[in-house]
Amino acid sequence: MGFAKEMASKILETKRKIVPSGVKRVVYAVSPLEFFYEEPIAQVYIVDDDFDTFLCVNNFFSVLTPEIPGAARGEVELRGRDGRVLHRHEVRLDDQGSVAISVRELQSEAGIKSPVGLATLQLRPEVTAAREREVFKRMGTIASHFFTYYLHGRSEAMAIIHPQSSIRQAPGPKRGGEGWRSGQAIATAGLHQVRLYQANHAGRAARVEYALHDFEGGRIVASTTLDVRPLGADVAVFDLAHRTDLPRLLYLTADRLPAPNGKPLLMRTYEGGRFSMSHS
Amino acid sequence: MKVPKERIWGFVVSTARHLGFRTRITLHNKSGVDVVAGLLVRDQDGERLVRVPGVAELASGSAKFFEVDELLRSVGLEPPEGEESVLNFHLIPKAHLDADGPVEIEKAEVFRILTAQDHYLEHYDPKTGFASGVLYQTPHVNDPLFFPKSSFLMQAPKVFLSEHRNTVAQVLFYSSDPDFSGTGDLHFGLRGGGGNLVVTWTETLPAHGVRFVDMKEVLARHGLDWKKVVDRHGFLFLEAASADHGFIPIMFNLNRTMHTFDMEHSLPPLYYGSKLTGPRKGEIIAAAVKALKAPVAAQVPAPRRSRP
Repeated sequence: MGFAKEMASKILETKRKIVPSGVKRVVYAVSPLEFFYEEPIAQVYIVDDDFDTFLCVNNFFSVLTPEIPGAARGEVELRGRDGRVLHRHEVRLDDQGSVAISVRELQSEAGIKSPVGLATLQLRPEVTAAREREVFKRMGTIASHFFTYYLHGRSEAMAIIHPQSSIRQAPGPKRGGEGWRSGQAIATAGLHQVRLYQANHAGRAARVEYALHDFEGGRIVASTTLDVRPLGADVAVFDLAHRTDLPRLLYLTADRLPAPNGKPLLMRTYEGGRFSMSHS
Repeated sequence: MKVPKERIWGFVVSTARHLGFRTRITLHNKSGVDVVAGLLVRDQDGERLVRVPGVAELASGSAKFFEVDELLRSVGLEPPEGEESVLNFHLIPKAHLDADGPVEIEKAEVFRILTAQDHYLEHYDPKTGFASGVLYQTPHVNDPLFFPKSSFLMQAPKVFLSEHRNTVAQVLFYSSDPDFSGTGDLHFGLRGGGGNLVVTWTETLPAHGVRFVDMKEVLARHGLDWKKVVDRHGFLFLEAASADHGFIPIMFNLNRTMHTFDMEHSLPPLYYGSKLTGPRKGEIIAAAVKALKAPVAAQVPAPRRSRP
């Protein structure tokens, strides 16, 4: 398919999407090249007394279009718990360059304080539209993936988590039966808390009912409900340290996910600031 | 297509005993068909130790939990102290269980049941209970029955070094063909924030074996002091590529003092660009291998230019 034909096809494909804000139509009028970018990729950040989050971004164009070397430029957005944009930060990466951006430092520079929310990234090749077009020809639709690294300040326990969905997803439907079930088996030995950091990549608020079940038999041993604002993030906490009735293994369910791939990040906490976290 | 039943749906894991951890596995079956899980255990060099045709039945919609050391003892193996075991699970649809030779199955059906679910691998510290894990699938790689050629590219910034912290790349040279043999080269490079290669090197793995690549050790081997290499956040960018073979990587970030760690898998190029498959993927990987095979004078990276 020729580039012009491909671009026309992209525009038609995108125009078919339902975008409540109408933002895409405005962008379309300004630059049709925008349609070769997925919506920004988003992941949860945590910045509180214990944790900082590092956004690990590399100039992936250098590796994926090596015949067109050059810098990349992009924007990080921090959204608060309620989904509102709190801060925008411009990123520039040399050819083959990478950076770990401390969200605590970003918040400090901007004079804001937000313990949990969504960080998004949109990265693009720097310089001319002609170079950008050459990149599109080779890559197709671009998704700006980045990795997030969560670090406990005192214990230096850490978790690195791969990127999740792009924002402005369609809302996830309520599921029947047991709902969505995590693939993780959660051992309770030494476990203090299970925390669920839930992103909402969709443009609609979501109420999610979580339950922890006995791995053998499915009996519910704890449950809670969380309201997550559109394009926001929040945390649900299960305190388990003093529970004497817990089985050896648990599993997690939710009656819905805010967006189709919007699984919560599952944090386990242990004595002495030890923690682990991963996709559920 | 005709496929030996053991090659339809596999899942491979390695233990992490040399890091001081024990291992648990949860297999899931959301494929819509009932299966029997067989097990082939190998040592860290890929040598076969034991094969058991059925260690568990998984009805559709069910999950099965294993403590690896208990599982090994149940099949007659004593877990080796400080050395790794590689466990190859073969999930065989019950409809094909009694077949002696290859079974007839659509390629699309093979990929459907493989990708219907992730399985969960977890390591833990028995002294504190601390546990960390990762959900993933094992694709068909190094197996011409499914793809004429396999290749590999990892380009993700995941390395963090400090007094207490280190990064270790676990690499499995897996094949969905149990008779796959030989060795495979995987080319690595560490870059500073400014993009310059700090060091490149090659790891040679035996078929079906596992290696753990310790980033502080790699830097020391090349005469580099890690403290002089990392930026203020302890950050480096790791690249790895092979034009000839596929590998299964899992990155560990470790805190040796607290005895904690995390694990994460990687993302293929297709996640970044919708056209990055087939011949285009091959071109990218060839370029990456060329860059990583070029000799690099071990050097401290130039200052990072992260802000506009």
